Amino acid sequence: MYKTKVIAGVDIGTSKVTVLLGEIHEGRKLNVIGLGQSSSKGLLKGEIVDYHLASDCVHAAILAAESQAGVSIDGVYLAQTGGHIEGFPSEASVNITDPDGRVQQEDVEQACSLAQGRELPENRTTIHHLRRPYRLDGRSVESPVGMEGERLEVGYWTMHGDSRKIGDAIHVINGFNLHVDDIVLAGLASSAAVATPDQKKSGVLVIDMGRGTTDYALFLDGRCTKAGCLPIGGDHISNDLSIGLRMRLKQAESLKLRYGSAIVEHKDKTEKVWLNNDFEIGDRPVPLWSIEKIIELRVSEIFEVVRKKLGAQFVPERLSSGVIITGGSSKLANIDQCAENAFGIQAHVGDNAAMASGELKDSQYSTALGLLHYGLQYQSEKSYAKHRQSSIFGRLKSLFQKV
Amino acid sequence: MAARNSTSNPRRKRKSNTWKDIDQSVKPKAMSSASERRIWMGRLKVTGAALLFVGVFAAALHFLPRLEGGPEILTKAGESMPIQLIDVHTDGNLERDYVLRQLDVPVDANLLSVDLDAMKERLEAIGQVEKAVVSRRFPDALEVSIVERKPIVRILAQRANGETLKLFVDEQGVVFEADRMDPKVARTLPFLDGVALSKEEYGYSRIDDISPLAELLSEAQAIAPHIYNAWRVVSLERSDRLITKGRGAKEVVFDRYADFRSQLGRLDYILDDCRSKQRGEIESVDLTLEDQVPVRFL
Repeated sequence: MYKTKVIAGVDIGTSKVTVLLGEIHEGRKLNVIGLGQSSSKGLLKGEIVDYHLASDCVHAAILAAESQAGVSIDGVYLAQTGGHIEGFPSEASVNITDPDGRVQQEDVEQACSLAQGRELPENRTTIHHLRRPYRLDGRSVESPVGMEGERLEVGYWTMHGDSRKIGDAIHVINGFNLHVDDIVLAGLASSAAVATPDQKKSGVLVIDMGRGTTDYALFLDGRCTKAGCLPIGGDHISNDLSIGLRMRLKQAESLKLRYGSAIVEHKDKTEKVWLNNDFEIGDRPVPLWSIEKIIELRVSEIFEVVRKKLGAQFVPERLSSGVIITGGSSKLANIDQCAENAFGIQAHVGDNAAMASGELKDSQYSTALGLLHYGLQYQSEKSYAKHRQSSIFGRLKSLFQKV
Repeated sequence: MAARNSTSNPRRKRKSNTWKDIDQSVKPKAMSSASERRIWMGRLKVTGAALLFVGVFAAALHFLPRLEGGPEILTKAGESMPIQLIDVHTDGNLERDYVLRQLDVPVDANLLSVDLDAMKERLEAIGQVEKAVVSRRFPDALEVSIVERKPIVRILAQRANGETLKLFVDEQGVVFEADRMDPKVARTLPFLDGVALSKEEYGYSRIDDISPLAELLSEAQAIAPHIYNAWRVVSLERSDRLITKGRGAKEVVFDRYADFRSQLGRLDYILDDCRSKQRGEIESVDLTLEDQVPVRFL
């Protein structure tokens, strides 16, 4: 008998904490039943810098979501972001031992284990092993078991982070007497919400620009081949405006929201806008061209850094679905054009239309929705495995294995 | 890149540190006040549910043997509650003693053993009773509330054996016998004429289309009681007319569909006028014509 499980997708961002509750029926159907949000405190660039403040705001958001849904959470899926997250490629290969030359499950497991087994430096902990397609004697295969070959190769993009920082985030959730079932890189979670399986199959780059960080995930042939996180985001744009145009950060933030554009739209350098727009003492005209130029330079720089991080993996010809931009900063005007200029391929601002409707379509919920998607996948696999184990054939199989 | 010697080396799985190695046991000091509140609420809910379960279980243990013993046990329990008082309320003039006789409650009856439905049926079998409610008022009283029918006219009929039968009709057209009707009230009611009575299994068939007559009588009682009191007979013999017979004017014909208030006003004027001019006794007044009122004198 299947049980209904309530899972929470918790996105602890630099600007706000978003919690979405999902109810999973029979391990395969997901209903979003609750939403809780609170403004972030004690966080800097996606990392916890004040444990108690961060706990308070995360717990407030969870409590709001629980109250709205009127249920208790069974497990949490937590988004992970921050500059401490890094990745490296790891590969391994094995010779096929079967006398018939057919790949056995054991060969696959051995190859995967070797590839995943690379020692990490002290205080580093693995978050994801993103597997690329297997290669059997040089040809790319999805599932090599039963196929003929001599040498099986497997490659991973291993994501790892500072174990203390990841521990802090997990302990904030534990502090609410909840268990973290899985942690997912924020960029990967967002991709699950904004990019369709078809787009991932044809190649797509998803960029989640938040307030303090920018997460990215590159998908080729339906698989994530590279992902990462940069400790720069929308705050840096405001900071540049503040320094470049000599104004307070709050004023710069307001100016960015009112007149910001990721490409220079107004070429006339004499065109000006009012700083506070209240014509009080302290209000002054600011050149619109300067605002747009500063923003364009910073956003282009962020995209350039992403492109550099992707390195040889970024092949424009293999990204038929282009670039999808999401996150809070994706609301900046003309950011898609700026991305097109930076990457040389088509780009657009994504939404969660494939997964949600109404208010939840907004890109600010992408990460939390993606987390629920991961939770559903995890629960489906778990219930399928359980179902197989409990079936007659499963029991017979385990009986023979014991014999 | 790692590789494996295909046959000689035993297969060995290597283990790396993953985030799953992070200890997730909750330390109370790390909890926020909101979390502690949530935990306490959870504990309270669990405790409440457990207490409720224990309570239901204990109640089941307590009452199950009694239920198994059947209704006798419940009746025995009721024996400790003998009826001390029967409280009768009525909006009419049925006497308490008469009602008690109809109820027929045994002297040693106890509150739980009496059959309330049977008592209610007995009371509602009295023609004069429109509705009766019989209820238990713990610990030792029976409460009876009666709504009586309000007659608007009476009918004189005869049984097959020649016995005179006093019947009354209420404003819904229900015909009922009323032995206990207050004679003072009964005397003031006009007789109804021009209807065919038919007997049914219980009582008599209802008189249709009596509402215009009820309205006329009600209006007359309210605005012209001296005219109403002079009426002895009201007749429904004509489908579009209402005819009254009595003193002052031997016969008055009302239009069933016109405004009774204005018709009564015109009648009052005619009666006054005739009286003041000493025109003699009136045989009939026809109020059904709009512009004229034919009046015939004896």
